[in-house]
Amino acid sequence: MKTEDEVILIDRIKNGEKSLFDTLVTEYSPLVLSVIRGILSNREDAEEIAQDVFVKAFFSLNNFRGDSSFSTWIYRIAYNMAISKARQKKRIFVQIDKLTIPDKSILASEVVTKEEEIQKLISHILKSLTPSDRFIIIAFYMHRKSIAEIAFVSGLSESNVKVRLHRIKKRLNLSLREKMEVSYG
Amino acid sequence: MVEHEDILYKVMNSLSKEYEKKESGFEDEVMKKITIEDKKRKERKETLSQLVITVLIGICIATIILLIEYFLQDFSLSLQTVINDLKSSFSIFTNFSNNPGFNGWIIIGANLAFLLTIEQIVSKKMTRKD
Repeated sequence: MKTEDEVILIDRIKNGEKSLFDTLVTEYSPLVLSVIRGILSNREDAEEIAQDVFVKAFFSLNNFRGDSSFSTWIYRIAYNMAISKARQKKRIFVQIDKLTIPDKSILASEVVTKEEEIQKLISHILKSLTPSDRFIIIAFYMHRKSIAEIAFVSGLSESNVKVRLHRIKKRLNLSLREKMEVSYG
Repeated sequence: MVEHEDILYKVMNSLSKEYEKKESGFEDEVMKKITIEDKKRKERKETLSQLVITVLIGICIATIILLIEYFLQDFSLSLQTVINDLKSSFSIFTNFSNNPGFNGWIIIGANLAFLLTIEQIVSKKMTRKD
């Protein structure tokens, strides 16, 4: 959807044509769902949280002044709701320095292709990150967001995002290299 | 290193397909939740406005009574007068409570209050069910 069309659509919703919000839900639900699933590590209640994100967005639509795109605005709401949900659950996350590669026997237990194996490895590493670190990786690689955008959404400073991203990338690359060496002998 | 970056992008791309999946009827569910929340907010707003109106009417009536008392019956707003009035009101109440029919009236009043409370609870539950 073009930005101009989106602005017109949002204005119409603000003026009372509430049923048009359906269009925004269809357009942005994949993005919102992937942010939430990414942060909460693919939890089953992600859909319900995503629905709540849209409900919140609908009732806060008057606060949307168009300073940023609607996509960034809803992305931020999704980030905040997913992070607060993760905090509520108080799950214990392993620190980035304590990351471990899954046991080779676990990976070898099923007949999987090399690509599937790598995907499993990365998923495992993602699960062991803190929710905010996971968000940084997902926003950077999955949603192709810039450092500035990630900083804006997460409320962290750009330098903090850079440092965190560098550490996670380093760790991921190391794990991948180790995996490659194991695979190729 | 560059190769690893490519792998990461590739894996994230396939993961995103998995993460973006949604059940059919997602949009309908969102719109349904919005309608329910909208209704709740309107009810809350209405209750609040009713409360404000009640308080304002109460203040108006109290002011009118005070003005009538002040202008027509030489009512004084001095602290001593107010204390004296309160004392006399209390003595009236004490005399009234000594009356043999007093307890009966108290029981009738308490019963009425109890019945009204029960009626409120039941009607609220019925409205929620609707």
